[in-house]
Amino acid sequence: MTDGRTPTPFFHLSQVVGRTGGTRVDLRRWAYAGLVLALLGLAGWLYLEQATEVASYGYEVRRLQDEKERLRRELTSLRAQVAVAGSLERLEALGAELGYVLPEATDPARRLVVSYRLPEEEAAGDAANAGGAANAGSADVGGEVPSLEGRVRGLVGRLGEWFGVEPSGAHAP
Amino acid sequence: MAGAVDIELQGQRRRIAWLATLFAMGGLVLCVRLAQWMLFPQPLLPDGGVSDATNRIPANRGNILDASGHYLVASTVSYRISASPRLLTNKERETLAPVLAGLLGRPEEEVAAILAREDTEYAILADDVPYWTAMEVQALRKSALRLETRFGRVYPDGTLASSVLGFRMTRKDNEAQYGQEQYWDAELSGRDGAWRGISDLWGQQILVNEGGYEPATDGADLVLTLDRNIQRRAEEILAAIVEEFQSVDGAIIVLDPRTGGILAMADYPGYSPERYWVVAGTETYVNGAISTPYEPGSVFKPLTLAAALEARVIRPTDTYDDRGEIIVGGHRIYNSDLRPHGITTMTELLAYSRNVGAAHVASLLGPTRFYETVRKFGFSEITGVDLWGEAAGVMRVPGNEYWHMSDLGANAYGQGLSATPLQVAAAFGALANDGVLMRPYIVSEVRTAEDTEVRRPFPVRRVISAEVADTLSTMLADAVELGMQKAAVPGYRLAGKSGTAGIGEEGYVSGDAIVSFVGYGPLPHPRFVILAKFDKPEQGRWGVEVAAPAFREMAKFLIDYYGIPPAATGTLAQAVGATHAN
Repeated sequence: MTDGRTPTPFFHLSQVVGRTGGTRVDLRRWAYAGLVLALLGLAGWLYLEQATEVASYGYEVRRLQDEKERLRRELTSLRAQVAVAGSLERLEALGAELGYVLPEATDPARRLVVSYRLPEEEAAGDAANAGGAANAGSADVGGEVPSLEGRVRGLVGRLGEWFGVEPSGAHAP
Repeated sequence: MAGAVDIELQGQRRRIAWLATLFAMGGLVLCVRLAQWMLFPQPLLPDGGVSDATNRIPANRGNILDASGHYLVASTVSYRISASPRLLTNKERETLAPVLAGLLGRPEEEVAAILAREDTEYAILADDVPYWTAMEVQALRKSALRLETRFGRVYPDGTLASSVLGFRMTRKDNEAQYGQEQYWDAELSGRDGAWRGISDLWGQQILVNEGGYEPATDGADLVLTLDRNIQRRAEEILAAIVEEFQSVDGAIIVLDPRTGGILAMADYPGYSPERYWVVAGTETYVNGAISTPYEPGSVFKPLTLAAALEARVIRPTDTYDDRGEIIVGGHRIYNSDLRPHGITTMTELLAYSRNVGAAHVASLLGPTRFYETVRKFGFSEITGVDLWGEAAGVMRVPGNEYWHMSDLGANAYGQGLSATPLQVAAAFGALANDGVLMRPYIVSEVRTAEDTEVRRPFPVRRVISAEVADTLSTMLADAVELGMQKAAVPGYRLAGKSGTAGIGEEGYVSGDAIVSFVGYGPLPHPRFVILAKFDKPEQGRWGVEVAAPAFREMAKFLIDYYGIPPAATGTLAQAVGATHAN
């Protein structure tokens, strides 16, 4: 107990006067106070732990963002290098180094002469042949063996095509 | 003695009680503060060494690619490297100088002199340093060295298509100017991102608040219909003809008539977008192919005939008696050679470019049908091409205050009205495309990170029937073979028309002319339309003389480039034979 002159603090040391005249601390009261403080301390510790973790994640996120930005810039720089590497001027220089030359446009020498007929001409030719064969069927056995004159004409035609000479009757387009 | 001990014990207990109370109060304050931080939103640590930090994350500007995916313009990153010499010790200066000199490619003495400066906090060591070099400098981990990022544009092919591409004013706020850069600025720019967080005592930035990071959205890439190989050839031909005939200016346009896609658009003189300030004048930036209307002259005659054929006023086999002059609306019109030519067919009218014949046909047609068809061809209105700075041209029509019947006669052969080269090319594109006018366009795809917008060809309207277009194409091809052989390519049917027009600036300037040739081919399935135009050639007077060779060279290149066989029908061997024969 306290005397009347001294103010009583909030947490005062309760004492029980025992038979021996000594003091005994009120353990229950102190246990409550300790528990409250421990809980508050735990809450504070958890908060600080969380805040620290958030901050460390914040650092990490920031580092990753920096890395991302760095990679973006590297990508941009690489694209620019690709662009320059594929420029016409550079390709021409490389081509010249390798011995390539630009051909003369529409140079006939560049075109491969082939005995090729367009599909529609092929179809028209087949139809004409079929008609001819049908007509010739009565005269020629089998109707597929061309006459000597036909063979000669065909040969001349092929030779003409071979040498690039315009067949008679055809007109320039 | 016992009383003294009791008093002492009481004093101790009192002091302990006070101490415990103080600790309890302190703990309580801390708990309240913790609860306040945890339960109530707080401004982010405003005091002390920790401060708010906001960074702008710049978006990359989109690239511009040609039809085959080659870069015409690419974004790039470079760095300015500077130093704060005062923050360096003498020993650091001695060790840094040779390292930096090696990295930056500067003499060691120069770098050492910069690092030795005591009078400044900011000394530039190098500009336009490439990314990888800058990273090596950064790896030195010297706080006295500073890297500043610069975003720029690189043009792999130099001046190629400069009038189409435009540029960015790197010397002034990176403002986009002219061409694609300006027309598509919003799409190319993208959206800058932002980063909002805090900086700690050491300047390290921490992201702590949700939504504090907003990533940058890079600008869209543009894929053009333009083919850089065709563009390159067009510019070569343009420069060669300008030089040969000492022309002041010139343009070549190549269109795909089936889609309206612009395959090439060359304008002379060009400039380097990387060094855009090195030009004779700002007019160099203007793309004359779309922004500078001119009197098209005789290239207009096929359009007059198209209107007449469509209205069935004339037939391809019709003739007229050319007496060398005709009066329309009280105005006397002459042939360019001031001579009569007697009975003339419609094909001869085109082949020899008879003004009298064109005015005669327009008279038969009458103003209403003539102007109706001409407007359907797209004259006096912009084509809507996706390029900055397109002009519409001027054409007086009946109902206008200043229109007179004599305008009909002059307009019939392309005088007294103005049009841009692109309008003329698009109109010829309609002839080549079975009578359907296509809207010219140059951007075929807009590619963002999320998706790709494919821009489809847009048919504006049918102008004439397919039969009339086919008939007129045949007449024009015959006319080329008959009177404009300088435009002909052996083995191929090319339709076209030359034009020569005086330059109208407060009356026609004597001697000065704008000459052009417009054509397409090869028939019967045209793959290209070519317009070649030259201003004030000193060594030539006529379109067929100056512009037709440019057309022919361009056509030869395209035929070769596309691998078009010499004849659409017949055997290849026959066709090659025909080529040899020619």
